[in-house]
Amino acid sequence: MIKRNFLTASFVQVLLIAGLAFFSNVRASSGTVVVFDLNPIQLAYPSNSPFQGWSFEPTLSISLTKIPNDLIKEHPVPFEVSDDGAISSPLQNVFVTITKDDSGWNISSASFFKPDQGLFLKSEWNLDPYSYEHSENNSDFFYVRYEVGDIFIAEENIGRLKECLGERSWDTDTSSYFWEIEPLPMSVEVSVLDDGKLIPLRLFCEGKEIK
Amino acid sequence: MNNVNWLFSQLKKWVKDGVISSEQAGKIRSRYSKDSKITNFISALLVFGGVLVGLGLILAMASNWQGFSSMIKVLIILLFVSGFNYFGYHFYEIPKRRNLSQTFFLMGAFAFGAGVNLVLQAFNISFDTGQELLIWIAGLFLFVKFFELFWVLILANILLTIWIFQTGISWTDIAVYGLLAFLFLRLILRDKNNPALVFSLIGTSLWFFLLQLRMLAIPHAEKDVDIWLVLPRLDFGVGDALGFVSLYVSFGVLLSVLAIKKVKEWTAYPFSVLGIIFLYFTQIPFTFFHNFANEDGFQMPNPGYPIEALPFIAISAFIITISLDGLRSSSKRKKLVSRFFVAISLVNILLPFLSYSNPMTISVFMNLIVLFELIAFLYISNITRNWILFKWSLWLFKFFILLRFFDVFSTLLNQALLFVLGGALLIWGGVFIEKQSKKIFDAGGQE
Repeated sequence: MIKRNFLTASFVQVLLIAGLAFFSNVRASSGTVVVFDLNPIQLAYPSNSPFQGWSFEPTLSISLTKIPNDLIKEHPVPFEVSDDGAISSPLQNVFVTITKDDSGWNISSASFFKPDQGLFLKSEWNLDPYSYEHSENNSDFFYVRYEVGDIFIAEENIGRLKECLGERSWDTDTSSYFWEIEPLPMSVEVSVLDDGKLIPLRLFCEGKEIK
Repeated sequence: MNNVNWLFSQLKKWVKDGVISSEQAGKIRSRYSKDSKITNFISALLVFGGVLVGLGLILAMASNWQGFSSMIKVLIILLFVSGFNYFGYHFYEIPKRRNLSQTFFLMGAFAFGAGVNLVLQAFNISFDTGQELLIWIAGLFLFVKFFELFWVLILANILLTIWIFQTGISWTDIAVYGLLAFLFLRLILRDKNNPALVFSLIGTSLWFFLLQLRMLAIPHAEKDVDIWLVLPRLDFGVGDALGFVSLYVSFGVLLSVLAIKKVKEWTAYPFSVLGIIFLYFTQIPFTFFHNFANEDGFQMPNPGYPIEALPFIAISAFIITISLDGLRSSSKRKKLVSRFFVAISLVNILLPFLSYSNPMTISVFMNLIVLFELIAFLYISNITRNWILFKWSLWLFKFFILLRFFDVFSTLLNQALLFVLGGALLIWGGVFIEKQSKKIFDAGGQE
């Protein structure tokens, strides 16, 4: 009986680990593998957690995050604003369809609804007051944010990643940021799933992989 | 002669006089013998070693070694997990090696957690609300259930508490925590695992906090799932804050009732201590509320929504239900204790209505309620011979008097005089209460 209990409990643990690995692998390999350039100004820098080590969430380049209004299929104000100024639906999914030409991946159209065909990425329109005003003032474009997810980096490569990200400082005279150390060109390999979600696979700096 | 030698010499005398049986004397002797101390020391060393090895494994995984492919990493971790668990099982079957078995199972538990995180790391999966902890906890459950693993059960409850602390506060998370906490509580009660019970109660108190937040967000959350987007829109008022107070008071009262009823003898300590802490420390900020009365621009915010009252009304109703048999009892003591708990529960249900009044009224009522509760707890713990509850109520009573002293006289006296008088009051109060409590303890001992 004790032996059977032990085998059952062990089997559950092995199943959880192996199952997690198997489904993660199958999920990542089911998508279309694409390499995107990164924005030199990253929203987040590498962070360290006690259980999982160093991780980094890349921000895609501005050619994919800045969407001209004429590319969106619907009216770009599908949210409600209450009397106290609060926006009732602060996050709105935007599906961005992309195509590749000689210069790389570019936006061909955008929609609030999932497209039937083409390669598209799921993004979120962060309706903060500023972007809302952009829209109100009939600005020519709006910004979206992609949830690329974390890439885990080996401890010995964190120094290299920081070098690639460069270093920005605040200039009090001009009231603006400037680069103390210039960033290097970076890109990320992702798997784009059928629903437009992204799974990060590999990170590159000057064309070389950072593991 | 040291205490143990004195005890051993007395044991012989007590057996001779027929106070205790020789079997009982043997049990007491084994409890205080050197062998038992050595065994405890070895157990502590083994557990400490197990924790160090486990943490080392987790750190090794977290450094994300890049020499192997993902599949090789998974295989290595599976080997570690299975190996530790196998040795745990092997030594479990040898009764004299149960301590070693516990250590290996503990290392297996850490290795499993490291493995889960490693898989996520290898495939770049990041969960938003700590689902990796849930997978870790799920993997430990059957081992704890089948092998009564003291340390692994503590680890599982710590992980569960960490998870509820970092969760996204969805209704699903709240339901999942409730289910897991219930399943683990059954194992805690079966194994009489006091430290795990403490973590479980702390986790439950966090869970209550999130549940209450969720209840508050209901009128605002028709479209949004993520509570962090809803929270900034909540207009936290005194009614909402008093709702939280009522919830924790009801939780504290429930623990105190369970401690006094001695539902499980070994749980009396954590139930008494945490019960009185939850009850007291959530009410104390409102005893200073009169300080807001004269502040320019202070406005009483809106009272809370009725729906948020559901959790604490449910707990208070449960306390009243389990107190009913005491009300029907022929014993005067039981009747008195039950009446007190019914009264305190009813007052607690009505507490959020104070938000309709002004800060001065709230402060006066809260002071009276806290004073009444502390005195009643001192009396009830005395007549029910719950000395842990008595001791903690006494400490909190002293603390309450001191708080009131500084609160009342801080505006009337200069600082030097305030501290001298405060110190003198403490010394006099300490000596007086010491004498009184000694009398009560002595009387209790004689009974």
